[in-house]
Amino acid sequence: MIEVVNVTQHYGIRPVLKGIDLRIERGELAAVVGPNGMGKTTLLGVMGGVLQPQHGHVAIAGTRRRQSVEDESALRRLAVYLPDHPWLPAQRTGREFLLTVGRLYGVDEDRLLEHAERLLALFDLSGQADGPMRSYSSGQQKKLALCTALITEAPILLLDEPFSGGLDPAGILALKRLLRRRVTAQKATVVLTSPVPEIVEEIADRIIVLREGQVIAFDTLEGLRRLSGQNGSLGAILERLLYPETVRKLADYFEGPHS
Amino acid sequence: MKRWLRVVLPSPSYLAILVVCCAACMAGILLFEWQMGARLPELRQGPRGLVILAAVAYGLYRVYAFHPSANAGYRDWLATTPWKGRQPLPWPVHLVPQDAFVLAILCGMSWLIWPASVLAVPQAFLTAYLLDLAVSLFVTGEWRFGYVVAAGLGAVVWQWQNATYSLALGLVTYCLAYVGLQRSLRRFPWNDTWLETLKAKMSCGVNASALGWPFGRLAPAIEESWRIPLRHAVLVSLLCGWWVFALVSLIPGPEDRANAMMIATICGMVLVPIVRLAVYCDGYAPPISLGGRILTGRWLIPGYDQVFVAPLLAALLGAMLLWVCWLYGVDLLFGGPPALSVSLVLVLGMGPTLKEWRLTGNHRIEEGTRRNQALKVG
Repeated sequence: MIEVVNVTQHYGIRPVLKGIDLRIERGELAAVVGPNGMGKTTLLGVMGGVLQPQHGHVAIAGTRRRQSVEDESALRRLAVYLPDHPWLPAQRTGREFLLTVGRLYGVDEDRLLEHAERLLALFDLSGQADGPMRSYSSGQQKKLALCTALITEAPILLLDEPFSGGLDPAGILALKRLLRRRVTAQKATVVLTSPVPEIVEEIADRIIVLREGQVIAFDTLEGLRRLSGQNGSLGAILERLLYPETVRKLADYFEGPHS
Repeated sequence: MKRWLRVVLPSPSYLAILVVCCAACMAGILLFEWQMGARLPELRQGPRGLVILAAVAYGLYRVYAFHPSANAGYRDWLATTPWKGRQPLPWPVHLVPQDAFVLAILCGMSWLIWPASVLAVPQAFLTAYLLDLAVSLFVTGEWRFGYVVAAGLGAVVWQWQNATYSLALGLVTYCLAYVGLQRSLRRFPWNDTWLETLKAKMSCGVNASALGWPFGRLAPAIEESWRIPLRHAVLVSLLCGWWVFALVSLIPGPEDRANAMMIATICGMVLVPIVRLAVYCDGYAPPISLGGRILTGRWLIPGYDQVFVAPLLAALLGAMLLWVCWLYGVDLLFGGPPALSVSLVLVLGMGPTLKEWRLTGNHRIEEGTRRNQALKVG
């Protein structure tokens, strides 16, 4: 379970997050959506322990981030954060890297070897797994980065834009199903950001809608429909919630004499 | 005789190379001197240097090739035998009569080349031997004796110009090193040493720079080994001060000595704190920008600014100590080392530890500068 309590974050003067309060339960997949530059990555970074908020705090399984060395060490084992642009060691092979990361997270050696094999096969990386990562295409690099997050077996996954970065349709399908299974079968907690409403609609239990650093809605798709008074897709709901002015202006425009 | 000597001698091919090199050099020099009709001392420094180099190499070899800590195969084999630390080793690490014989030969060669300062040969041997032995003491966890031997070695270097004193100090240091060696052998098989821990980590592939971003920063096992206990920080700093004093003392001329000491002290007071700051701050940025600090009135962010305290104090206290020495007319040769030691103690031992800083500091974790051989995804 992740608790975000009154979090305010700014890098300079302008606050990127303003008094955010959230509670994401165990066994839940939450997706953060919103326009660019509205604080999605920052929110995930705060949850992932990459950023320390100026006000408020983040607690994972009841333990605050960065409170003590022991607690933070334990939390790092518990929650894995994968940014949208990770860096991979170019000279290492994909398999080598996967196994190294798995060992760092204390995954049992036998299970690790077997899981690495299955993950590589699932993401169509078996053929390249023993070659240096510099020879991978950008989509394959993205897949491998996702595999490293998954191989840790961490019960909390914080994934920044996991579906972008050159992932092919097969990769998107595999990741969607895999994340859902983690959530339902293993009671994992997943928080991700995505600019694609269709994917979010399909996999998220609840959706966090951010606008100008504030949570304007945090609910299920049904809840968002009620809130927005819009019965259509998530894309249509987001139009209503995030850009009401644009929607109204469009309506005015179309009702005009020359439309 | 041959069998007796073979206990300590290196491979005959190395000996042959040494003898041939010395003989060839000496033959050339003798020929040249005969043609010129006079002895040319400067030319004889070359082969003499070779003999001293051989003494240094022999000193290093005597520990490196004979101590089980330096040879994993030997150590593993020893662990499978009924050998116990109280028994003598199959091949001796401590000095034996054969060593005296080898040194006597090297001294004889040195004497033939240049009769003056023959004692430089045993001095060089003892210095190299003790240095290697000190390393082995640290490696095997007998760090108290390691520090004692390293300090004694400083004394040997300090008195280098006075060969008799230097050798006497070397022999006293050897006696202490011998006790340390026996104690360390009794602790065999040294499973709990820091070297073993480090090797285990290395074999696990736990190398932050090789893990890219974010795992190189956020993986749970990364921060385990980063801590220098205060007692080690104090002892290392004192040792550094002592060694700098000993080395600078060798420089002839008071002005050159003062200049060298000034450079060493400034390095310790300025460069070492900067290095610490760079290690701490690489990849750990301030939570808000400088402009943000000024405009929001948050001039101080204790959770982040703590990183500057130790380096600033190290530089300030070191400078203050130097100033006090200057005020009371204390020679820089004696004032510099304490200032250096104080700076180093603060840099090495003052909190926050790297682990505390990285896990609990109020910073923004970034990729850092270790991006060589890294691919950015997306």
